[in-house]
Amino acid sequence: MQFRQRIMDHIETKHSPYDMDTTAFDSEVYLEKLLKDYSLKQIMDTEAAVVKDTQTLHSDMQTLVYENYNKFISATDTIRKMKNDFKQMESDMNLLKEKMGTITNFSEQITGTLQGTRSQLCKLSEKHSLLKRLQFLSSLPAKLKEHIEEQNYVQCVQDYVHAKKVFEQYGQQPSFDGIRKDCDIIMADLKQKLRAEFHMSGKTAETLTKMGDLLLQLDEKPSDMAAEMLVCASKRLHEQIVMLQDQTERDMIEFVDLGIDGFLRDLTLVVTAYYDMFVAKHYDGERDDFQEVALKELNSFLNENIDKYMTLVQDRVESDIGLGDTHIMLRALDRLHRRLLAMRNICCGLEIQRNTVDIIISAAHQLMQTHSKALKDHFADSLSSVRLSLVSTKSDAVVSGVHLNDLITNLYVTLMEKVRGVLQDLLIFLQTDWSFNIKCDYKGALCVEGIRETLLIGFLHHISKVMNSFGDLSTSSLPNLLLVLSKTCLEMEQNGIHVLISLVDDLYEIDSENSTTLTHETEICAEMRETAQNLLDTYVRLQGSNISQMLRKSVETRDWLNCLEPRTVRAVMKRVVEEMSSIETVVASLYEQQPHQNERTTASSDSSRKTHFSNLTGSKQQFRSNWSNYTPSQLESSYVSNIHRLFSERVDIFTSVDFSKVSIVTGIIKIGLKTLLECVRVRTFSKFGLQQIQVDTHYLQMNLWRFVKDENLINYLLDEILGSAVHRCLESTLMEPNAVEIICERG
Amino acid sequence: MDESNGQIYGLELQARSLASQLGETQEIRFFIATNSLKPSTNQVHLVEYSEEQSNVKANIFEHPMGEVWKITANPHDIYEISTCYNEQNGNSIRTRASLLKYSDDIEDTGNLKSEYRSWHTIETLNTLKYGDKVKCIEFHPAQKEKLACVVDNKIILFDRVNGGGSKIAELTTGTSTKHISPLNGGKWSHHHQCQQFVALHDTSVKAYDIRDQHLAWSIEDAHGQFVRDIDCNPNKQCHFVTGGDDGFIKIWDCRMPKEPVFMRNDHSHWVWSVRFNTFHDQLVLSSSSDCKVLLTCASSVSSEAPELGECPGRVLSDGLLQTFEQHEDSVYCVEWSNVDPWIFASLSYDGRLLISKVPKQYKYQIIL
Repeated sequence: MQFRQRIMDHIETKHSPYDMDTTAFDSEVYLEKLLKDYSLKQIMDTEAAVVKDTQTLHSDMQTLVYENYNKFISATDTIRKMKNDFKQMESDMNLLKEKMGTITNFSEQITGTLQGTRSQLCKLSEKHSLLKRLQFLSSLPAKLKEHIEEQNYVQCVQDYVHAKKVFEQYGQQPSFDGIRKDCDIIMADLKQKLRAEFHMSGKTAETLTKMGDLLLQLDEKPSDMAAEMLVCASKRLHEQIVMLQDQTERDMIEFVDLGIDGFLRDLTLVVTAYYDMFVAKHYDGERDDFQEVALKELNSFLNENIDKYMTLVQDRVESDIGLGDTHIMLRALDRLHRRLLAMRNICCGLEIQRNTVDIIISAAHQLMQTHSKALKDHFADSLSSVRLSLVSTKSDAVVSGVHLNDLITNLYVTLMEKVRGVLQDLLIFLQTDWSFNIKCDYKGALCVEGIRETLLIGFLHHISKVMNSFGDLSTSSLPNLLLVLSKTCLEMEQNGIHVLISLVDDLYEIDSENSTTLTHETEICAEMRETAQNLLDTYVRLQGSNISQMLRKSVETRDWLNCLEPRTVRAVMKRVVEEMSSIETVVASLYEQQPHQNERTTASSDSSRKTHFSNLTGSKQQFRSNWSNYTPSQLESSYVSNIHRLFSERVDIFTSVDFSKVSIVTGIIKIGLKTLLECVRVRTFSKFGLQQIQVDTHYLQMNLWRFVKDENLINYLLDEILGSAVHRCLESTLMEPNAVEIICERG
Repeated sequence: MDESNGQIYGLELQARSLASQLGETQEIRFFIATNSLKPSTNQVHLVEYSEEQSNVKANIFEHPMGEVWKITANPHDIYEISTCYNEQNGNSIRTRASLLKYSDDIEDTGNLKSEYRSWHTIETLNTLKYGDKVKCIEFHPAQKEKLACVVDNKIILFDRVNGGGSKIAELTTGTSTKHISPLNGGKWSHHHQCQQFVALHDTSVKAYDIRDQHLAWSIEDAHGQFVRDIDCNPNKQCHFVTGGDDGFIKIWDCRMPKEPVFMRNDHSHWVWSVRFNTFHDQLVLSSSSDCKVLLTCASSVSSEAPELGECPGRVLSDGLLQTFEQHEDSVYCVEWSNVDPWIFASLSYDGRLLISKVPKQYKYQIIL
């Protein structure tokens, strides 16, 4: 059997010709397959199995036939017995049938007699309930009144609504009509009352909503109600605003808290109630787009009120900023911002356009402007104090360079500190614990850049502009003030600007390097340097013209035709040299950086000086011989000076100078000497006059060389002066060089 | 002539006076005079520039009286000039003034006693009674018989027909003990029928009316330092240009003496001479002891200034147009030619006269 099973499994189909248990079994096919597929041993196994199966089946069949035979015989006996029993049962059934007939008759008789009573009972119970209802109705007016008196409006409205349905059904009956009219009157009163309360000011938003709800139940038109509700709410909110407006003496936090607890809370209540009442519910009696319209109305209402409030806050901020503690104000604004964010979440489906961040940004702007003004004022103050201190020390004859240096450091340091302080102060807007982040906002980012651009860069521009105005030639400034300002500008250019700009970039995380709109550091530096240059040039011109003035007066007022043989150097030349050395000390204190250079000028030993001097006298000798070798006819021809000129560079007199002591002093000397030259050219000299000039120029040469880097420049100019004097001399005989030297040595 | 370098005419002596021959209407001619102390070496050259041939011809006149500090041409008489010159008198030097007239007669030059031409008439003005230092002679622009003379701190008006002079003005200080610095020259104003003479004094400019001899107007502290020269705008008569030791040139409106209407600071030393172009007064020449001659444009305040609403695109913009750097010494004089508005002469101390032209591009910009 197992084997067959296996075959069957193998074949996998029930109705196949290989399945011996089915009707479709084809022995021929089966055999063929067997012979074909299996080995001899398998076939023999199969055969044995088949034979065994067949035998088993056979014996089974025999047993079955035997058993069933016995059962058949006993069944025949039972049927024979049943035939007798049925006859008796038939007579019993007939008897039962008769008896059931009589029972039916009796039952019909009883039902007939009870019918009347039952219908009466039904009617009675119906009447009872009707009466009960009537009683409710008739007592309704009184009850309603009672409720109203107790101000139990909710119960009252509930009862009325209950009764209303009845009235609608039986409204035609005159008796009901009376009650109904009574009720209507009462309810109209109630409505009136509710409405009055609805309108009455001083109610909280909560009661407002409750009233609104009741009125709605009393069949008020939702659209009217909606409109009315908003009007009333606006009125109430307006009162709150007015109240807030008067709170000027409170500080910002209290002010905002008051607004949040009063105004914003009410506003939220109204908005949510309105939303629940009109927007979220559907009303049959209204137009299809009622909900939409209501939402829109609500939206504009909300925005209008938020707007009002925000304007109030903004006004407050504007009047307060810069005066009180910015931190407190920002804390208040932060609280407000949080609250509005929360509100935004509550009022879903509504948009609040106005933003606290805008207010904060505008506050930042305003604070920035205040600071900017303060900085400018401070700058003006410190400038005037510098000026004052210069004026007061001017009387002390000698202005020490140390003093100037102190002034510069003072000016520079206070300037830097002040700007730094302001930058730190404004940083408060960017603190991380605020719920707002103004850098996220486009306007806010602009504002932060504005701190850099308007405040810092603007201030730097201002500095440079103001300083520059001192450099205007037409206004007379103190020379030392120019020097101080110029040096301060230079200091700013070399250090200050970089420090401040990188500070602002760091603090506010501005990437100025890669920005196209932001002012680059180099622009400001260039401007500052230009200012420094301009101031220094003005200083040189001013000092130059002071020296010039001395020289010019000295040449113009002297009678050169009738002077005596020179015995001394003229006093004015000594004064010029003195003036130059005092200028030099002042300038050196500011612009002398290399210590070894310092040594050369101030502490140079006698010996080194000697060598220099001998060099100088050598060149002087040469120069002198130039002139003395010329015959008078040669002297008169202009070729001499022309040839001179061929070998020397043209000297620009009023030029920009470098930021170094030598350059500055050289610039001043150049201006002075050029003036001397021009003055000499318009005078006529006698022999002694010329010799006096000769002495003077030699003295200048002896004393001015140490101030300049390029001695040739001075030599050239002095050459020109003496040359021009020779031209302008009636009898050009120069003095003996030795005599000149002796006079000069004597001083 | 080379556009950029100009035509050079050299003197052998120092020179600091130059004038355009104002009476001449055909040829481009300039008078220059030497400034040499050596007796009887001074000359007056009448230089004629020919544009076609690009050369310079000169007639040389003697100037025996002394070194010339200032030369002025008479606008009414082509042959007449005035010179201010130093005259040595023992141990003192006086500056005097003469009116010199030459004749065009060629025969006259045949005089063989000198290598230079002599003058037809020489009329020395009687200035001695007014002072020792004659600063300048200015011919009245309209009345040919009148000429103004600045002597020391006085302005004298000479009448050549009636003879004699009258004092227009004298600068005095209240106490008169102080030394008064002399006037530094002046010019006739074209304003008010040429009845005003504008004089320079230290840092200020003062205008006197010749009829009532009163100060008409003044500009105090016109320059930070000494005011060297002034010129009147012939086409816009209330405008003056001044140059000073502060290196500025400033254009003033005499009705608004507080602030200049135009100001430039391009020179690097004293400005010795400033001139408006007589035809196109936006062109201003200035010369300075920094050895440069500058051509500046002042369109915005010129008579050709654009009207309001007119497109300013075609107008030459204000500012420095050109720097002429061919001089090697201080340039004390510069003058426009009165014949050709595009030609000017400049004279430096070393005796170099340079005749230059306004660069073509600016010329076209102004004409077109």
